[in-house]
Amino acid sequence: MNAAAVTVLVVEDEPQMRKFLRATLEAHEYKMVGAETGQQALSEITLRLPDLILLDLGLPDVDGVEIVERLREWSDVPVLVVSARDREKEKVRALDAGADDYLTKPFGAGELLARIRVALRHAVQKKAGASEPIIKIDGLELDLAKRLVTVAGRDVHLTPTEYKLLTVLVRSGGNVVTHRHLLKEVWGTAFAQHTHYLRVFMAQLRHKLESDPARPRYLLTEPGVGYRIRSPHGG
Amino acid sequence: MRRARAKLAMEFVWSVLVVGLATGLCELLYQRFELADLIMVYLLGVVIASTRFSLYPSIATALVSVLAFDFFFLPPRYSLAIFDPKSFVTFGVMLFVAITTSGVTERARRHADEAMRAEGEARNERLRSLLLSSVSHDLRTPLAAIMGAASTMLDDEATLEDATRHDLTQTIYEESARLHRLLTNLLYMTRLESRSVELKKEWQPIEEVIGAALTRLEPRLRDRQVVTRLAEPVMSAPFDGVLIEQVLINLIENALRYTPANAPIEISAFAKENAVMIEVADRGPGIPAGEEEKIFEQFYRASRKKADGGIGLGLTISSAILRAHGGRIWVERREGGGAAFRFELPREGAGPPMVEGDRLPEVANYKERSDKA
Repeated sequence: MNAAAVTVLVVEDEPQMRKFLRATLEAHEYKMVGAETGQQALSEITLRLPDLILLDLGLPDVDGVEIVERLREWSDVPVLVVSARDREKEKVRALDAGADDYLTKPFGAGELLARIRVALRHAVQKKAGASEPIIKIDGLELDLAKRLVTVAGRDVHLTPTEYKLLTVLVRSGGNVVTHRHLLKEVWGTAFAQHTHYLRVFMAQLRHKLESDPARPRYLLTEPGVGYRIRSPHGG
Repeated sequence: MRRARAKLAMEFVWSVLVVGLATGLCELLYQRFELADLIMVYLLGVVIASTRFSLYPSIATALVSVLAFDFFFLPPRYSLAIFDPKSFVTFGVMLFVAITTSGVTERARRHADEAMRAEGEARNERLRSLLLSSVSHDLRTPLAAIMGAASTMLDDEATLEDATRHDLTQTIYEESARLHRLLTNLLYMTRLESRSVELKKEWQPIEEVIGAALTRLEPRLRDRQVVTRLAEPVMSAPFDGVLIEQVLINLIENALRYTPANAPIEISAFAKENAVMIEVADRGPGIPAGEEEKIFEQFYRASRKKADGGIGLGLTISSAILRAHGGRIWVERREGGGAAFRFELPREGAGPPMVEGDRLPEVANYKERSDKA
């Protein structure tokens, strides 16, 4: 572990989970700080200013979503929420409150590290204020300056709405984007509930970009939550 | 509530019809029979009505019967003489018959209902204990493997070879994944059965949920040939994306588990008139004849002996999910060998409005249709 190690605050009340996370994180050169309750988490955040927070939503004392809300009043630190498979509503609430992504319990070390890398990279880009001008994801290339999209070297013509949809996903750098957030960004607040339209445009976009739209390589669906683009860096 | 009210209204209509029938019959008998006999015909109507209807329609039958008898047959005919004490007596008797008969039938019906409920509860109780014993057995199998592997690693830490250690770790990982799959299905199952799970039906393309299931299974499908065939490009239906994804995962996992590694898995979707049909087909050994329906029943274990760590819960929960959607799931034999699992999702209603070109319709005129969709 070196002095400039990235600090991850793990908010989790299960000691066995903390043990697993500490072993995994420290094996990959992250510095881990643990908190068992929401109260403890809030004080650790102000005290240690972690680079990333891994937040279990099933805390005994405070609603995890509330922690995200309070945190977002003053900090942009990336937050990954952890919750169970059948709790889509809870995940969406946390994401809409400002969490960056989620992990579904149980998860493996590979998935955890990939999510952390994506979230950290995205945070750095956001701070820098600009994303890379050309984004490449496994054969898909997006030139943001020239507004050009190519798949395997072939030009793809997108409508303005499809292009907007794609850029919102690409700008999130592989983090999940909720239905609500996408609808707001692309069509405006009035459409925040009209998920069906989003699905139709998403399908159109898939048919233009994917070689097998039923087995997408770029535009991934998170049922009940939203969409994500496959991480540009193979996370 | 609304249905109960409609049923009551129907009973009132029927009670008038019964009286009409009695009146018609009396008209035929009028010439040759006494008035007292005619009353018997009406009384018969009241008895019939009150064995079938609830209290108020039964009373109505009695009342209308007296009025009809009075009007049509009691001299002077075609006039009402309701203050005639004889009418009062007739009405009294009919009312008495109507109330007691309908009371007796009501009680009998209640007893029957209670008996049925008790039987249902006993059946549920039996199912629950069966589920419990079945599940604890299936949980214990992977747990035993995990515990065994972990204890070997702890006890023989110094002497284990790297390859063995790796194998044991692999076992622990795979068996816990199996535990997780079992628990996920179990959770959906109990929640669907207790009706605490709320179906979140939304119109969405079939293609998308197939893609989601394939993405989630990606690590396990890496070395498999998967073919997808969709009849229409953007075929939609209203369904709960999370639950239907689970159905697809269960079917694909089944195919993975029961078929040789080099056999392709084919996923297709077809549009039908009022439904979409999705098929997951494999080239495995197929389902033994006569077991095509059993495999969807609770606690069915495939007769092919294989340590697969499932109680067929995956198919049972899939079937429950489809039922909750008003659809169905079944299996067919494939020509040339293998099994084809198929399920149908109804496409009821007009569906959401189409998107034209690149723009969305105005929110204002879209609103009222979207609420129905």
